[in-house]
Amino acid sequence: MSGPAGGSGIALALAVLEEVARGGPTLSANRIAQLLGIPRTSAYRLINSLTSDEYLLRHPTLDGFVLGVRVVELAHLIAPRTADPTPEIIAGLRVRTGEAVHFVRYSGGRVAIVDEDPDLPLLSIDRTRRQLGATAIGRLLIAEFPPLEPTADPRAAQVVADSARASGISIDERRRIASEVARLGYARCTEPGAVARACVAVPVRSPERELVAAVVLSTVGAEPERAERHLPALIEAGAELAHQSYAVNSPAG
Amino acid sequence: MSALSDAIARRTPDASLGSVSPLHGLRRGSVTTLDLVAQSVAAVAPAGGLLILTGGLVDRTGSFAFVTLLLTAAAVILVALAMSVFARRISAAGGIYTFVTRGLGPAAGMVAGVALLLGYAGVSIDTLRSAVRRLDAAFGGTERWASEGPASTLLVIGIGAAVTAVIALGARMSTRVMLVVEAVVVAALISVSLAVFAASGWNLAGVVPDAGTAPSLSAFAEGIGFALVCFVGFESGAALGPESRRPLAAVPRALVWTVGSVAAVYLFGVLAQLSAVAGGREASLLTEADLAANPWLDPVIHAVVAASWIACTLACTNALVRLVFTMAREGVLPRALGRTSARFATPHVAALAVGTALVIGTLLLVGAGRESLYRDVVHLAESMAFILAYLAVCAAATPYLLRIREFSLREAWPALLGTLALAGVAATEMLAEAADDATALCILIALIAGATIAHLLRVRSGRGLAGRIGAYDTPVASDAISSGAPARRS
Repeated sequence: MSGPAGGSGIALALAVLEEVARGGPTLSANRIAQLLGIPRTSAYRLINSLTSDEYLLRHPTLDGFVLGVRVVELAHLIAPRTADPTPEIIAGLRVRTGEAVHFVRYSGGRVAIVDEDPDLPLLSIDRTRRQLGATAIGRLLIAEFPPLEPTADPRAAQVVADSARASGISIDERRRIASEVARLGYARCTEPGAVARACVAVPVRSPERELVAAVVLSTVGAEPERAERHLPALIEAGAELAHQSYAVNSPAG
Repeated sequence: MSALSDAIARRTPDASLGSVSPLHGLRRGSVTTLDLVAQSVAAVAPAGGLLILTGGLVDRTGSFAFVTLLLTAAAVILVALAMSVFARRISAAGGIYTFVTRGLGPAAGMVAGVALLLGYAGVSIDTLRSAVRRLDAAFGGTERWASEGPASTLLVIGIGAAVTAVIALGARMSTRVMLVVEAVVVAALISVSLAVFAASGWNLAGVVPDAGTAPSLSAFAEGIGFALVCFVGFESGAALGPESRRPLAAVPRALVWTVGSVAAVYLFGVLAQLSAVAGGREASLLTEADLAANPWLDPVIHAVVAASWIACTLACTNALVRLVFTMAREGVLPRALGRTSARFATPHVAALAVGTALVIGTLLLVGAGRESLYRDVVHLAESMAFILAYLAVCAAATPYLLRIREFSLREAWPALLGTLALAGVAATEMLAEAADDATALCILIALIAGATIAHLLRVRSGRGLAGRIGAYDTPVASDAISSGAPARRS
């Protein structure tokens, strides 16, 4: 791992865990500090804080550490690292379309914003996460769990149903969104008013056809056509992302 | 894929770890930080400490009482920080005994271990005896039960049995009850202090020592030793580490919180006392006049203090049981004492043995009377044994950090400073005690030395004991996920 010195606390903590995962239980605290290029005292403090939270455990006989079962809780933080080709594909898409492109993941019925376009940021990250009916990103998630239908992930379905109810979306509205997304193969949304936007979200699906992520394109102005003319490029990128992540042919679109 | 996400995706238990911890059988994660604080606070018995301190410290060091207490509190905080060096890394039911064994090896470990055994036993016995005396004063009426009479004996046996049962059944409520008892007593004493303070017109002049009446250096050191004893027991929360949630975070926090809050209570109490002295009142929180004016006050105070002493007996016996249990698991004491109850997940055999010893020891103390050698030894154990154990744990922290190659001055300085401070206190106390009552001191030293030499001989005899001592709650295979280190893809 290249030196994460100067990175954020969480990045540094993850870097320590990564070194332990690579080096195994013989890697001492000193050696971890060396590998990461950080002062020893900072490394000790970080390691002690990771061990007191039981992300790391001290090996009773060897010099080093082992990963505590608690790191499994970190899985959602690690997940973006598994899709390393993503930033390139998204950056390429931004250049090709000349519009704002975002990339989000879905896990457990929630939205995780992975790559937000710096030139035209999302109107509100909080709204994107909570008011699912008001964004293309959220509508894709709502459509994934149509009300009262069997699902492979009932817990995520419950989370989505709760979020929808909390933001005042009726069961009928959820059905309408689901049928619209099923018909189109993507989700769209326009935001009228002073900061008018038009937005489309194209799903990225796992081989089991589960919604795992979305490629999102957003344009200034309330005309959906302006966003929708980039659909072929988005669908192609979605297919490539699915292919890169799962080494299977794209189901997207 | 990173090695970390690989490991998470596989989620296989780590086979490089054993399948059971040396302390298996205790229920992990069943104790909260609050319970640890309760255990430590009850063992300190700040209510009793405050009553003893306020009068005794002013008597010994005069206007330097506040400074003496401040220095003592600082020294105890250094001990707590030195203990945290270990407690952040290992979770041990043996507390200081295990820490010192890990840092300085079996000989020093056993010195600390025997010191703690004697210390906890001494405090348990003495506080049980005091509790019975206080109950006598509260409910015995004017004639009082005869000290060797059946009432006292029955009370000792009854309280001893109850303490044993609470520990053997693992009643978690007990620590909470102890905390409530201590909180009520301390709140009562603080309000009395406030009243005293107010009566003297918030006179803070007592804080500043009067250089003209400086006590001699030996009186000063004796004062520190005396004040230190009032903090004894704060370390006992560590004994519940293996049973607590996230012990490596919870135990250091509980230790520092306990010392900090107890110190605050004491400092305030002594401040009130000094202001009363400055105001020309008697050097006691409650004067005879107060008691005469409120006849109901006397039995209430006795009953409340008795409750505080019983909580202290329970807490110290609890720590003693964990220590005996650890030694038994290592093979230092008979193995049978290391058994745990499958139903209650407690060291019930050790609890029964320690409970029996407590009752016998207390009855001996009741029978021995005021001027016996046995009583002197018990009293000395309550102070000297702990000073030795604290000195040992401070001295052990730096070698331990060096041994695991994690030494940094930033973490080690409290232990280094604590070693110096405690060595000074231990030396002065030893000299004072040798001049005062050499016999009890010799007996105490002989007990510790004898046990240590026997222990060293057994460890050296090579029957596997060397590999088992210093046992703590190690992570087991199912606590960890395997990293499968060689896989290096990227």
